[in-house]
Amino acid sequence: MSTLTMNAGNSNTVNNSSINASTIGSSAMMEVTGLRKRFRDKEVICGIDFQVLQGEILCFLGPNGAGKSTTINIITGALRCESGNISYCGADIYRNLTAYKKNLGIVPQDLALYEDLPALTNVRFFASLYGLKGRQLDEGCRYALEFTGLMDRAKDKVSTFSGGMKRRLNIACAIAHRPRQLIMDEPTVGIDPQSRNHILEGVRRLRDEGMTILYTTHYMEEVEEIATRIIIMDEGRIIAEGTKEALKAGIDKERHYEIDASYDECPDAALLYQIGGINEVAINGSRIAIAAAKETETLDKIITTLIAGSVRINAIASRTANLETVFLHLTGKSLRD
Amino acid sequence: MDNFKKILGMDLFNLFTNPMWLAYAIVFPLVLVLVMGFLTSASYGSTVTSYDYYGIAMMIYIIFNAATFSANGFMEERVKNPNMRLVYSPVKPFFIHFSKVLATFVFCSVTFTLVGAVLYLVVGVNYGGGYFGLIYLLMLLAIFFFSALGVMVCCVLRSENSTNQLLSIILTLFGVLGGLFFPLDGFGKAISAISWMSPAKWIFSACMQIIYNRDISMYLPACGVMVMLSAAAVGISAKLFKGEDYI
Amino acid sequence: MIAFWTTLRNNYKRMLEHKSRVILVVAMITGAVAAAVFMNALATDSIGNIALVAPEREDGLTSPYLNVTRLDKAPPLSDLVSGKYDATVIRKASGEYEIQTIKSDVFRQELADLLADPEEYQPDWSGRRKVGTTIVGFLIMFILMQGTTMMLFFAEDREHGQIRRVAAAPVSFAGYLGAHCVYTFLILFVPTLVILYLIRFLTGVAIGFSFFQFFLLIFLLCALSTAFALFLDAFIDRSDSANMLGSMVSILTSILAGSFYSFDKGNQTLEAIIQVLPQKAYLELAGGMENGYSWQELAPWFWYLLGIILVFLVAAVAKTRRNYIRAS
Repeated sequence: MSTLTMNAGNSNTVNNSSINASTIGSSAMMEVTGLRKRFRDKEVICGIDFQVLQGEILCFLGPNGAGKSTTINIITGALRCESGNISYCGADIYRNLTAYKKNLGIVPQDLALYEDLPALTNVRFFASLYGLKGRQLDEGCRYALEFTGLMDRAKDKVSTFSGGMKRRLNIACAIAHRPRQLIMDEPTVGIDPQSRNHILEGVRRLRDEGMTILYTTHYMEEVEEIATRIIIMDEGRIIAEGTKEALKAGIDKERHYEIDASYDECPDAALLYQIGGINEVAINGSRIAIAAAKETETLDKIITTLIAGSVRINAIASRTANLETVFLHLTGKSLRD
Repeated sequence: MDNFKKILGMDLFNLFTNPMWLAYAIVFPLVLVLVMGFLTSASYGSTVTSYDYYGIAMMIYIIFNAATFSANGFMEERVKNPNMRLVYSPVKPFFIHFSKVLATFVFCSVTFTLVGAVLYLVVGVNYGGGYFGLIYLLMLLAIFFFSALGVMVCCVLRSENSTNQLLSIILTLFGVLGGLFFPLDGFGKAISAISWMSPAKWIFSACMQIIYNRDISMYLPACGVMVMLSAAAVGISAKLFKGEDYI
Repeated sequence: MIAFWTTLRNNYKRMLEHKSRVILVVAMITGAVAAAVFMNALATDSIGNIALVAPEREDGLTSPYLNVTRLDKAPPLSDLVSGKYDATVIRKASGEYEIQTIKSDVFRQELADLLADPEEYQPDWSGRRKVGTTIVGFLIMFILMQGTTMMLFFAEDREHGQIRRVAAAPVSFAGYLGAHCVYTFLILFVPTLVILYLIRFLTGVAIGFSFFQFFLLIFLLCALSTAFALFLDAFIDRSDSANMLGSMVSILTSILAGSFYSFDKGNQTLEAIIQVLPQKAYLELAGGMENGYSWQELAPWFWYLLGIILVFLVAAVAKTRRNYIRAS
C-alpha cells in the first residue's frame, strides 16, 4: 500500500507529464473479442474483449496468475486459444501469422538470450530473423544497444552481465527491428531500481517514437508511471479498463489520514467528528486513522483539535486512491496477495 | 529460407562451441575404438583385425549419440529460452525443429569423418576400400536418422530429462539388438529375428557385406530403411512440435 | 540430522512429482538385470559357433563345446567378421577338416584339437569367470552410468541455486549432501536387488551368489556409483556435462577393467592403469567370493574399494563446502 507524506506531494504522478496523450490515435490497431483459453480443466482466460489503440501504452495489471501472460502469449500468436478473434489492422492474425509477427517485438518474462555469446551477436541474430540485412541490420543493432545503454558492452558475453543489464539486453533484442507494436511481459522482474527506471524511461521514449506498447506487470507503481490506459485483470477476466484517472475517480471520494501521536489522555473522537466532512475516526494506541471527504479541507482543523486536547503529533501521512486501492475495491483483495 | 540459414548457423555455433560435446563426439569414440581394439587384438588373427571390427561396430554405436546431441540442442536449459524467442519471431515452426536436426547432422558428420579418418590412418580400419563411398553414404544417412530421432522424442515427451532417459534405453537396446557389443546369433532364431528391428542391425549387416563380401544386395534396403525412418521422424516432429511448449 | 531428514523427505517428494522418471529407472534396471541374468543363462558352454560344410549330412560331429550350424556352402566372410560364426569348418572327402577363421591362432589350435577328438576334448577353463561374477560384471557399467543420472536433484540444486539456501541455513551441510547420497544410493540399490531376487525366485535361473553375497556386492557397486556421481556433480557445474563425462568415464573404465570380457594381457602401462580402476578391484572381489576365497584373501580388494568410495565422497564434500560454505 502506498503512503505519501504530506510534504512530498503526490509523487506517484510526477512523471506523467512526459506522456503526451494527444499522440494516441483513436483507431484500434488490434481488436480482441471473446478470447478463451483452458489449461487442462482450468479456464485461465474467460472470454475477454479489448482493443489496443495506436500509439498507446496499454498496461495489463493484475496479481500473479491473473492471466496477463497467457493473454499476451496468445496475442503474439505463439499460444493458441480455444475460441475468440484477434484482428490486427482489421485482419485476422492467423490468416498470415508470419506477416503479423513481423510487426511485433517481444520482451518475454524469462531472459531469452544466448549467454555464451556477446550482446551484439544476440541482437544481430534475433533482429535478422525479422528480415533485417546489411546496413539496416547494423543500424538496428546500434539503435537497440544505444537505446538500452549497452553500446559499450556490445562485445562482452551476456554471461558477464548483471541482472539489470540482461533485462535491458532482453529489450534490445526486441526493438532492433523497430516493431510497430512492442509487447513486454513483466520486463522489470527482479532488478535494481536504477535499471528499472532506465527501462521505464525507455518505454516512454519508445512510445514517443511512435511504438504501441503492451505492458504487463503486477507493480502498480510502474503502471502509474507509464500507462496511458490500463486493463485490470483478475482470475482470467477483465475487471476494469480505462485511464488511471478514470479508474481512480470511481472510488476517489475520500482522503485518509494516519496520525502518529502521543498523549497522556486519550483524545475524544466525538470532538473530531464535530469537524465538518469527517466520516470516520479510529483511535488505536498511538495511531489515529481519520477518513474525511475529499472536497472539504479538514487537515488544519484536525491538527488544531488534536493540539487543543494536549496531543503531541509526531507524524501525519495522507493517502488518496491509487491503483492498489482500486484493485482492492474491485476484488476485495490486495494486488500482491 | 534465409531465416532457416540463420537459425541453422546459430544451432551449429552452439554445437561446435560446447567443449564437452566436442569431447563426447571426438575424443570418446576414438578412445573407445582404440581401447576395445587394443584389448581384443590378441583374439583376432592377421587378415581381419580387432580394429576392423570395432572401427565399424563402435562407430555405428557412436552414431547413436546424434540423437542425444539433437535432443540436448533442442531442449537444453542453455538454449531453451533463446529458442522461445524463435517461437515469437516470424519464423516457420518447421524451421525451428528441423534446423536442430540438420545442425546435429552436420556436427556429427564432421566429427564422425574426423574420427573415421584418424582411425583409418592410425590403425588402418577397413572401410571397404573402393566401396568406401557407399559405406560413408550409409553412415551419413544413419547420422541423419538419429539426429531426427532425438528431436522427435523431444517433441513427443516435451522434457529434456525424460528424453535423455528414454533415449539411453532405446539406444542401448538398438546397440545390443544390432549385435554391436556381442553377436546375438548364439542366442537362437527368435532373438536373431528380433534383432532386425534395430536400425543398427541393418547398417551393421550392410556394412559387413559390402566390406567383406563385396555384396551390395543389403545396401539399398538399408538405405531405404534409413530414409523411411528419417522421413517418419521428421514428419512426426512436424506434427507434434508445439511452439507453446517453450513458453 | 535436520538437514539429512528434511532433504531426504524433500527428494522423495520431488521424485513423486516425476513418476514417469521413476518408472523409467525401474524399467531400465529391470531390463539391465534381466539382460545380465538371461544372456548369461542362454549362453552355452561352447568355445564358439562354427559353420560346418560337409559333403554328407551325417558327419558325426557332435560336441557339447561346439555350436554347429550345418551349411551347404561356406558362409561369406562378413558372417565371420560380424561374429555370427567364429569359424568355418570344411570337411573334406578325406575326412580332414579345414578351418577358416579370422580369430587368433590360439583359437584355431583349440578348435583343431576339438575336431581331432571331439569325444575326449576338455577345454581349459581354469581362468573362466563364473555366472555370478559375469552378472555383476554386466551391471557395473550400467549402475555407474545410472548413478550420475539419479544424482539429478543435487545437480539441479546446484544449477538453480537452491544449494545456497541450504548453505545459508543453520543446518549441517554434510547432512544435506549425505541425504542426496542416501537417496541416490537407495534408488539404485533397492530396485536392483529386488529385481535380481524376483528373477531368481520366479525363474529359478542361476545367479551364482548367496543372498548375503549379492547384497554386499550390489551394496558396494551402488555406493561406488553414488560416490562417483556426487564427485562429478561437485566438480562440474553443468549437470548435462557431468552426465556426459560420467557416461564416457563409466563406459571406458568398465570396458578396460574387463567388466564384460576378461581380456588377454595388454601392455604394461595399460595393465598398471587397469589395476588402479575400482571396477577391477570389484571384479576381483566378486570372482574371489564366487571361488570361495577366505576373508583374508578378499580383504585387500574390499578395503581398496571402500577407500576409493571415501576419496570420492571426501573430495566432493570438501569441494562443495569450499564453493558454498566459505564462499557464502
